[in-house]
Amino acid sequence: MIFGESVRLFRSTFIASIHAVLAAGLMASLACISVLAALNVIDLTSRFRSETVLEVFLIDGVTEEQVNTLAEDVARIQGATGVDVKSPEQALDEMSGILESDLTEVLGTNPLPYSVLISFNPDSIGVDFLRRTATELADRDEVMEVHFPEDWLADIDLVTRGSLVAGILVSLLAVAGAVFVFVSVRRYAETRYMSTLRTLLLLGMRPVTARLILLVWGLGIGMAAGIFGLCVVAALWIAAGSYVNSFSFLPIAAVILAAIIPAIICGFVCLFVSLPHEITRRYRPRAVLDR
Amino acid sequence: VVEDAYILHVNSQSSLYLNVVDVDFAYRPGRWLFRGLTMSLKRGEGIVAFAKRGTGKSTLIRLLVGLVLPSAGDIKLHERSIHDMSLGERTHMLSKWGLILDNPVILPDRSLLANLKIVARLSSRRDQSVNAAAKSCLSEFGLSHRMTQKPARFTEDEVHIIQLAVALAKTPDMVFWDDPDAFLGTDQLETAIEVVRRANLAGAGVILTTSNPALFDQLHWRVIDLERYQT
Repeated sequence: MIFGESVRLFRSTFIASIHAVLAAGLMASLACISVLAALNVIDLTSRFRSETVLEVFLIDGVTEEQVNTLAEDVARIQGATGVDVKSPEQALDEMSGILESDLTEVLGTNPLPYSVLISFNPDSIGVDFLRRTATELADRDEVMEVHFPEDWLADIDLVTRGSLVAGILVSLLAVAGAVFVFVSVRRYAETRYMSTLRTLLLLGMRPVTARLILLVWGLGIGMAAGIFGLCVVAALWIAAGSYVNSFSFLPIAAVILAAIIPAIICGFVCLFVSLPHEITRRYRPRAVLDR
Repeated sequence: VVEDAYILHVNSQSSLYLNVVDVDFAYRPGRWLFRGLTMSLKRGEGIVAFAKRGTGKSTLIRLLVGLVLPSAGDIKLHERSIHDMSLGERTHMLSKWGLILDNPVILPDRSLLANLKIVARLSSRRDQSVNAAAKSCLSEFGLSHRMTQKPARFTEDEVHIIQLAVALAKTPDMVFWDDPDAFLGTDQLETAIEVVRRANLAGAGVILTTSNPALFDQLHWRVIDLERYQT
């Protein structure tokens, strides 16, 4: 009976219900697109960050034992995923390869120091962490100087945080817009359905059943809006084709949430539906004083 | 739990059904419709409440079924004050009652059969028995062949008869019938009175309001003159 009545309610408010599905669906797609954009920006910046290496240049005359001790120490730094020790000879060979000339002949001696390259897990490092680590390493006696692309990483952090905040804000605005539209449609449906509800309650329907009818209607609209929103995002993604093939689509958890969250919101809005006043708020005359 | 306990209590009761105790009612302060209204009804009893047109017949029914509350005094259903009943308790009572009101208690955009199906569900009765009871009632008025039609296609008097059929189809504990002579012609009224009298003999309490004294002779029920309680 509840489901049947919900379907009847949908049919009797067909245009308004479809309007709610389309409006809430477009809002949901806007939220999905902003989340999608934020996730890809985060993914992109994470890729840049994964290529970040902390270069530790050692002083002249450092012993192999000191180098090994340093390598062992840095390997224990939280988030460090790789430690690469380069001797002056290896560094010179690499540079000669890049410049395509034998630098030993040109320079006579090898001016390059020992260096230690530390790579990190991109998800566990930030500029502050790298700055702190660099300072700690620079304080060691055997270390001459420490380099990392500080400004570049600061910019990347800013972009990551900005895209996350923008994604959340746009999503919240989209949800607020969808709720605003749906509350209006629910109010309209409530008015359209009021005389039916009155009759059903007078025939003995429990108030909770009456509320469940509107709840199921709201859940249905929300679910349809979520699926419609996802279809819009998927269609845009497919249409974008080669422009987006290096990016990733929404993860499956986000897809499921995008389908469920509008249903939960619409259902929640329907919990506050008002039943016919004739039955729920009985006319109660003022207290009699002159009796 | 309290609600369910109350419903069990209601189902187990069989003596005094409705007790109106010294009720005052006014829509506006000082403009009394009833003062000191007192009446009681046992299960299976019939009452005719008499009043002139526009002097509170519909309000009496609305008071008795709990759609409006007394300004003073109390209405008790199975010794339970109507003031204390929750919305769920009241709608449960309504599922056991037959209401025939000036504002029809049927869904106009659904066929009579669809209305009866809802009534059967809400009153926990079997579809077949509800349909058969309604068909039997409608056959008395020559309307039993129109059960697949929507009430919107019936005339005003026919809608009143449909309400009567729907109300009686659930084998109600109580029937509240508001001003039948305002809607039905003489022949229809006689038939309807006969149908309701049979329901009363089968155990349903009936409260009928009317402005037509001729009904007293037909029914031989207890008469309450509402003018006695009006100022």
